Amino acid sequence: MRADDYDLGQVVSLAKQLYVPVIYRHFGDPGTEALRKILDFLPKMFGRRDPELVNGDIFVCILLDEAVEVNSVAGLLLKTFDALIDAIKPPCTIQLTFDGTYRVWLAIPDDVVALSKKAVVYQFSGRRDIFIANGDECVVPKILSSLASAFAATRYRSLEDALEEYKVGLIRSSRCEIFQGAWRDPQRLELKPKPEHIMRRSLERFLQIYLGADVEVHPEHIVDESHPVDLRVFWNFARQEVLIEVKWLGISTDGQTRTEYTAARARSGAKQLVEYLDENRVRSGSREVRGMLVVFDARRRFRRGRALSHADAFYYENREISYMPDYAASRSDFDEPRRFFAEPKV
Amino acid sequence: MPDSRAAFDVLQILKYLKGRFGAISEAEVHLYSYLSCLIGIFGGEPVSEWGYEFASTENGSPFSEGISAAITLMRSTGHVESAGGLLSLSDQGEYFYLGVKGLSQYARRQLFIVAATNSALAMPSGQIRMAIMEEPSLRSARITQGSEMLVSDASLDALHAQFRVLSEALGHVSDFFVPAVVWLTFLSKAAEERVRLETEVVS
Repeated sequence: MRADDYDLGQVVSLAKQLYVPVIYRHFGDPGTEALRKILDFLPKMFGRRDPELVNGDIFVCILLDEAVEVNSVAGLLLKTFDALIDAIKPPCTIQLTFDGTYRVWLAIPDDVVALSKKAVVYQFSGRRDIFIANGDECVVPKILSSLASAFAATRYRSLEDALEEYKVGLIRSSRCEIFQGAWRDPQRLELKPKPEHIMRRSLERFLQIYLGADVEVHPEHIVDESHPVDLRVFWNFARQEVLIEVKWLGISTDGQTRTEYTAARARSGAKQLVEYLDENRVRSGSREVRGMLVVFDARRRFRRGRALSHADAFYYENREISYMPDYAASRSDFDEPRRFFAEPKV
Repeated sequence: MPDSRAAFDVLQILKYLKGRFGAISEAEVHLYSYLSCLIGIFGGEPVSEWGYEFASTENGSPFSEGISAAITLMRSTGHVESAGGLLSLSDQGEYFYLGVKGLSQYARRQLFIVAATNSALAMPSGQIRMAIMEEPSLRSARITQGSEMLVSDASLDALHAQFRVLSEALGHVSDFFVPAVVWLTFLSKAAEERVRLETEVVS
C-alpha cells in the first residue's frame, strides 16, 4: 500500500480533537490513567442502567487534585458498585475515587468548567458522550450513531444476542442511520427501489463491530437465485460459519414502478437457502456451516379505498411467518428465521 | 520451542483483557499481539526485534506461528485454560505471569501490549479488528488475496508515513494508549469510507 492511499490529514485532525489526546495534552499520564478508569467503569454502569432509558445528565469524574470540590454539598459515600447503581438518579454526579469507593450527588457539579481544570470529567447528556478537560469539550464519536452511548455495549458473544439487539435497538424504530436510507417516505410506509443492499450493509456493519474481534463478517458479491447468500459470518479458529440470506417484505417503489413482497417471498427465500446449503455441502469440508434467513418486514395493511389507520400500519407487527416445510425444525444446519419488523411513523 | 517473548505476550494479553472480556478467543490473542507489534513500531522498535513474525490468513486476519505455538505449549503446561473455544489464564498462569513480568527483557514490550489491550476500553473490539484490517500491510494482503508475511518492506513505508504524521501531530507521548487510540480511530474511519465508496459503486 502506498502512503497516499490514506488521507493523512485525518490523523492530524484526530490528534487535535479526539478526547484521548486532548486529555493527555492537558493532564499527561495522570489524565490518561484517570481516563482509563472512567472508560472501564462506563460499560459496567450502562450494563445496569440502560442509556436508552436514562432521563437527565450523568456526570462521572476522577479528581486529579483532592483539594478540588465537585459540589459545595458533601456527596454520599458508597462502598459497593451495587449500592451505587441503586443510588443513581439522573441528573447526578459520580466521583470514582482511587480507593475504589464512590461519591454520589443527585445534582450536576456546581461548576463543570472549573471542575474540569483539576479532574477528568465525563458527561452523558442527550445520547451524547462528552469528555471535558480543562474546559475543552470533546464529544466522543460513535461508530454507530443509533446507539445511545458509545460505551453501552462492546460486544456480543453470540450471533443470536447480537441479532436480538439489532432487531430491537436499531431496526424496530429505524434507529440505524444506514437503514434509514431504505425508506422512500418519512412515515416509513414504503421502501425505495432495491433496498436490499442498504439492509445488507446495515446488518453487516452492526455485526462487524459488535460480534467481537474473533468473528469475521463478509458480504457476498454475487447475490442471485442460485447464490442467495448475502453475508457470511466466520468464527476464526472455531471453523464455524453462518450463511445469512436477507429478504425484505413490503412495498418498494420509485413512484412509477412498484414491487410488493409478501410472506411468500420469505418462504421461497428459506427454500433457496436450503437448496444452496445442500448444493454446497461438499465444499464446506470440515467447517460447520449453518444457514439463517433474516427478513426485514416493512409490510403495512393497505386497503383499497381506505386511509391507512394506525392499526393497519402496525398490522404485521406481531404476525410471525409460518414456514412449510419448517426447515428449522427438521434440519440441524438451518437456524430459526429472524424477522425484523420496522415500525411505521404514523 | 516457542520464543519466550511470544509466551510472555500471550500471558499479558490474557491477563489484561480478562477484566474487560473474561476469556477471549485465540483469534483475539493474535489480533492484539499484532496490534502490540505495530504500536512497538510506532515506539521505535525494529520489527526484527519483536521476536516472532506475522502472516495474513486467507481471510485477511493476522496470524503468528510463534503465538500459536506459545498457546499450545501453555495449554499443555496448564498455564492457559480453554473452555468453549475461549482462552484464559489459569491460577498457575497468573502466578507465573506475576513472576516474569518484572524481568527487564519484557519491560519495553509491556508498554506496547498494555496500550494495545487498553484500546479495547475506548472502542468495541469489532471496531479494533476493522481498523487493524485497514492498516497498510493487511490491506495490501487482502487486495492481493495472498497469505503473505506482514509488515514487510513494501508496506512498512506506508506504515511509517502514517506514524510520522501521527508522531508530529501528537508530539512526545509517554503513554502509547494515546497514539494507539488515535491511529485505530483513523483506520476505522478509513475502513468506513472505503466501504461506503464500494457500496456506492455496487448500487
